[in-house]
Amino acid sequence: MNNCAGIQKLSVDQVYRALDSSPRGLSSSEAQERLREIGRNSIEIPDRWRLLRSLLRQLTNFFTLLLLISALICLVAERLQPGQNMLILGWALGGVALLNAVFSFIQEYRAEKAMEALRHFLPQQTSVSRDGKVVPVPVDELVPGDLLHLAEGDRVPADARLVEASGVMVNNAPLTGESLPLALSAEAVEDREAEGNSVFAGCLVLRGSGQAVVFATGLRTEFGKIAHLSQAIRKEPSPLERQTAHMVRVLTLIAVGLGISFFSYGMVSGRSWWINLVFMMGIIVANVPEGLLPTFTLALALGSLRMARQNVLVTSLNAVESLGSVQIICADKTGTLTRNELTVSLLSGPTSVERLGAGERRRLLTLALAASPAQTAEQEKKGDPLDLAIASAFDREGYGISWRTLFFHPFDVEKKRSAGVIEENGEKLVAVKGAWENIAPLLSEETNSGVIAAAESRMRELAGQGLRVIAVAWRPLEADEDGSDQDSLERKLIPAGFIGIEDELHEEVPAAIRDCREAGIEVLMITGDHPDTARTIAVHCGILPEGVKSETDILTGDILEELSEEELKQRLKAGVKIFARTSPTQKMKIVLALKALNRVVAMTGDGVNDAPALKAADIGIAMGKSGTDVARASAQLILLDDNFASIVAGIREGRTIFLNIRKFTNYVLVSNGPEIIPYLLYILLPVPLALTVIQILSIDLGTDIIPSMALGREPPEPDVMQHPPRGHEFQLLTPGLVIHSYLFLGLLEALWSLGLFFYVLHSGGWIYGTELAGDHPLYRSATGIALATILLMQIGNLIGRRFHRRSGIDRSLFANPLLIVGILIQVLFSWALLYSAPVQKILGTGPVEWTVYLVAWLGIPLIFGADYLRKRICYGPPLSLNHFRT
Amino acid sequence: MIILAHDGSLYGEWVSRYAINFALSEEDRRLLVLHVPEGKIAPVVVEARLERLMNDCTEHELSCRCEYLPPEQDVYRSLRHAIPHDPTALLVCGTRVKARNRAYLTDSIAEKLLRTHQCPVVALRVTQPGLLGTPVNLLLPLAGHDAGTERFWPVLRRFVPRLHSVQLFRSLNIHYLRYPHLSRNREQSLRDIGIAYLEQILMDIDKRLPERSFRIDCRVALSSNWSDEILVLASRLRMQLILLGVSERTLAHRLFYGVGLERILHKSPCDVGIYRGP
Repeated sequence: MNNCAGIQKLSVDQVYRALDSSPRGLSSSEAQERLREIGRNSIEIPDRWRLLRSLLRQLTNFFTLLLLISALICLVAERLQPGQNMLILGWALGGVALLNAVFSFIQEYRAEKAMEALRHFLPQQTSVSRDGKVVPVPVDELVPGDLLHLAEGDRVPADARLVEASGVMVNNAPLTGESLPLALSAEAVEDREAEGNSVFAGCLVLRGSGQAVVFATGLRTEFGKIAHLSQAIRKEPSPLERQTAHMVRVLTLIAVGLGISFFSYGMVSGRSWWINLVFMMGIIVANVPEGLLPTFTLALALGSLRMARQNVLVTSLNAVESLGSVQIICADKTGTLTRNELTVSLLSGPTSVERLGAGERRRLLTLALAASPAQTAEQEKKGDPLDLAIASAFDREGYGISWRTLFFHPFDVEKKRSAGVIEENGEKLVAVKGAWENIAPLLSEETNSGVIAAAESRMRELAGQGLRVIAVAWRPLEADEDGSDQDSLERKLIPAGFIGIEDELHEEVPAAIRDCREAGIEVLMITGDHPDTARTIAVHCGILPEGVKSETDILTGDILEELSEEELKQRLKAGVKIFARTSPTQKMKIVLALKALNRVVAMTGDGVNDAPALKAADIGIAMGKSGTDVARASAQLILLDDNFASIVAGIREGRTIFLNIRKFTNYVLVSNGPEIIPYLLYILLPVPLALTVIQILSIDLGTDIIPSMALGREPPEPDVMQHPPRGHEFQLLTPGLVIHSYLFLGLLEALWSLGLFFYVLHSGGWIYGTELAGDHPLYRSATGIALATILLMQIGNLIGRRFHRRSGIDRSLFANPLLIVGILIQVLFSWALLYSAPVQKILGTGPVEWTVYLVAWLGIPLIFGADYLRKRICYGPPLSLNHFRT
Repeated sequence: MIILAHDGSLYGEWVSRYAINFALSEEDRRLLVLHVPEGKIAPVVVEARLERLMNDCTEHELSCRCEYLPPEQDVYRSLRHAIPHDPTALLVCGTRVKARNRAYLTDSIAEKLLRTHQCPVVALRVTQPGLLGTPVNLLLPLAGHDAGTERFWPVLRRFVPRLHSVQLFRSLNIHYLRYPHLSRNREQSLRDIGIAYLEQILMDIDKRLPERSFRIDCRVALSSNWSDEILVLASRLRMQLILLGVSERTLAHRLFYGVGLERILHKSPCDVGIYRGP
């Protein structure tokens, strides 16, 4: 963890010398000089323009720019030639552009929250020695060389090396994720990895007091690096953002290309520039699905509400869809796959496989409890779950405490063991408990190698059963041994046995992992446990197949540390499924390697130090119950029940949302066909324009919105989790979708609506080649029926879009009430624009004969039937919904 | 030989730790300290600091010579006249913050020294005095020039005895408006170009150090802001020193890269070393 390991090897005098400090601290002038050189002890990156830049970035988005330019042209056109409704169009386009930009801006603004949560880990003020006096100073004025005075309950304000320590115990959880207390001293340590004499910013002094010389401040502290990453890592565009960008680019190129080509053609053919301008605007507006992106946002927002019902809280809308494209889930074992409720499930002698007798059981639990910080389950409630499990087992067996604790040496992260000295029946003994590999070297010489080998084998056997194995050892103490020196206590130990502790899986996990496998999603398990324990859990929950043991599927933290990214990528390709004995800081390395393999990665996390990895992953998932505020603020999804199965439920929802987005994209693009073709006819033939710009907008930004949202709310298709994830390469706008939208259904809508348009014109006495004024009653009626026909045909299109392969009426329309609302809106609006005076006035339409209106209704079965025929020809008879239910 | 331009300040003392560590791995174990009295720091303080430096050198069995240079027209000229023409030597100097938080490198003596061609130069910005001038994890961002290892080698080789890992990094500039529109294939081909370049550098290093004892990783990023990318990577990989090349080809080049460079010097999560790039 420590980035300044050199300073830990120095004696106290050398530390003062190295940092040009002294037991009197720095002088005020020296502190000022250092503050100028190094800067303030602040973990925030000052950036006063961040929000403005973010807003500008949203406003300069390709799609937003296009809408804004269109809006500007409309406003200019209105000024040049008023009364053509161009003002309304301009404002409508501008409004849509701003709405999109504001939505995205609000998403980015959330990044502030992570910083706010991190700020709580640093104090406002601290005590330091300056000019030989202890004075309070604001924390941001601390500089390297300052002599800090630390006391119980203090938050450490900067990374510092202890020069005086009296029983100092710290909790380094914000950095290591390990909540166990760590005892520190002021002595020099040789081991580079050791941290026995340093305190770190953001951590808590649990007990004792001391003085420490600051060696790193601000972003250079370990905590500062986490803060820096939490602020500086920018999310890469999500798969949906990329696909939307691609779609917008293609549609814009088509729109602008067509618009400019026909504007030029119009100019050459001698039409007035104004007609050509209106025409060009019409082509562009008809091609750009203005309502599509706001509908995306609404669909994602509705999806996030549905996810919340599955215990998945969404903090970033794009995550809703991104979760659906996840290819790999990196899940913490403890708490996510398992319940994080430890229970003692087995007590074993050091070598024997036979069941222990009552006396031996009591003895083993007594020794284990003696090496725990508290002796009752009640006292342990807020402590380490492992100690709580032992205390609970002791209570459950009905034993009572018959000893007196003389000394206790808490669990040391480096030593991986704890020890207690007790007096029972007038005899003193020391009990030590911890990982076997850390207890074995402390056994007495009398314990022969055969016993050690048998104990090792027993330990492996228990770990192989998926148990977390705690070794317990002891020795009697001489009367003159006081027990204060841990190192002299922990020698010549006698093995007492092993305690097997189990953390049960969430019961839904195996089924959820099976679903993942069927859905082509890989699950990697990350744990700090022993590889054998990790393997067994992985087999139990289905991450690894039963009975197949391969060396390539597990990677331990120490090997991971030494691997380069390229080597790690090779190991991942070779099939690593479990990361055992890993620390939270190594998660970042795993995420980056997976992303370098071009995978869409979801990562779970709960600690402060998980924040950078959560931000770096495509989807950061924080634990709602056990997670820290920082992790929650850095994640895009929060699991309210800390349960892996909820992630899978979220993936199902995410995939459904993407499929629904495809459905309504297809739906919306269909209406582009009958919107474009009238303009092409208008420029190529001497015929009136069948649809005005405002009428096009009434479809794109009006009647199509609710049906699109209804498609966005369609329930999951039964086989949604039986396809592999889409991956980065998948496109929302495929050639097939374009052909289906524009050249099949779009063309059909255009033919039917234009047929009725010309029928009304012809029956009203219009002669081919003659011009009609925009306010002529015949023109208004003809354009009205063209618009009404498109709206009605969109109903048939809407029903057909519900399923990719099935008709669309094989699931009740009432299963999705919004669908009914959408259909009603189309019907009502198609009637109103023909027969309601206020709507006629706004849209420039007029009434037609009832019989003509009824013919327009025939467009619904026409488009639905044609599409169904296509489905039958392309895909054959559909499987019934019951097929999937069984 | 290592040449240290020491301004007599506390900061100079932090920089001198690098110089001492470099000198320890020199064949001749020689350190030449150059100081131009400017009168900004009391002479007695400067003398004490330089004496402490001499003592440290003696403790480390280094041959150390300290020269007080007469102030000529300016500090830079005095230093330039005293710096020997020796391509095997390395000049070490510091980049200090100027009044009102102005630029660290632009128009500084360190920048002028970087332009001299008497010997290779490294200008250091020390932000972690607690590191004691012994970084073991280095971030080496490269801009893709053809010069290969030639420019940074005289500096990098001085760190080699203590190194645990070196991260070779290349950031390929992509405008933020273009980035979402970049296809995956195009992105991959750009990355491949970057990786191919870094692998070439890696081969060059391996040629120079056939039995290297430290790890080298290669990493490429596509970004619209190379300086931010370097800062993030330094934090992400817990780097202890960023070794950065600076070029001074054209005014436009300097304007473009200068801002990013100053940004790194201002916001770096670790120490920064600057050498003269191609």
